[in-house]
Amino acid sequence: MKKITSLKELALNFNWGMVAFVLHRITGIALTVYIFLHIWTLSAVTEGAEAFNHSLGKYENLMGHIFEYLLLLAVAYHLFNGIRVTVVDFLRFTRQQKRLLAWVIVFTVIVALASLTVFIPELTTSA
Amino acid sequence: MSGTRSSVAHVFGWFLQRISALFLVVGLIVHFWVLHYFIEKPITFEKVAARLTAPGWVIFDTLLLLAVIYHGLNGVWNILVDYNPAPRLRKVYGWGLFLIGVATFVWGMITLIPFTAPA
Repeated sequence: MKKITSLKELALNFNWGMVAFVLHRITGIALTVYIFLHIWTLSAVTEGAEAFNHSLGKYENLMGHIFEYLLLLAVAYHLFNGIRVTVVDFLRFTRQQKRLLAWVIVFTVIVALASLTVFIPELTTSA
Repeated sequence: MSGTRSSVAHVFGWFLQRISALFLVVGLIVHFWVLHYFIEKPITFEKVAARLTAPGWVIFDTLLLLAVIYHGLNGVWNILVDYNPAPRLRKVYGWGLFLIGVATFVWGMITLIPFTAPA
């Protein structure tokens, strides 16, 4: 049996559905890895409230905020594309999947723009 | 090797992936809303503990933990299976991910419990 599509094959037979598929996997793996980091950060609470506050405080800077924003983007894309995959699966929207992909991009961009200053307040409080 | 039992297991895994996804869609929107928009920064132990005095939030966070562990690790499983591993390696992947999942759940619960204990 043949192995799954490599990046070289993607380049040779380019289509947006494959890009969406690869992005879904990359964001999925990244978010799964993040779960461990997330629990590790929060688990400082086992050493007391002070340790917990200090542990969360490590994210209260520009780098931390950008990281959390990228995390939100990964969640937003994975969520909207996941809904697209589910809709295509259950409602047999196979023919509409390309148009649905446009909606995935639209919704992800809306979340990205609406959350920018909420997640990265440094953008509004100019130094 | 694809007998009836593994086919049923496969469909069940696919179905649970959709069910956990459905919960995560609602759950993560609530999670992000509460912890990034609703709560006043910075997030502190006191604020989290105050929210978790309500049993509903403890149940919500526990379900979110369960759903995200299953969804994430089953997703990794799907990717690994795509590379068509030998049956023995497949078994190692399956048990490895299962044990990681159980350990992560226990770790998550150990982290959740201190917030619910009276300060």
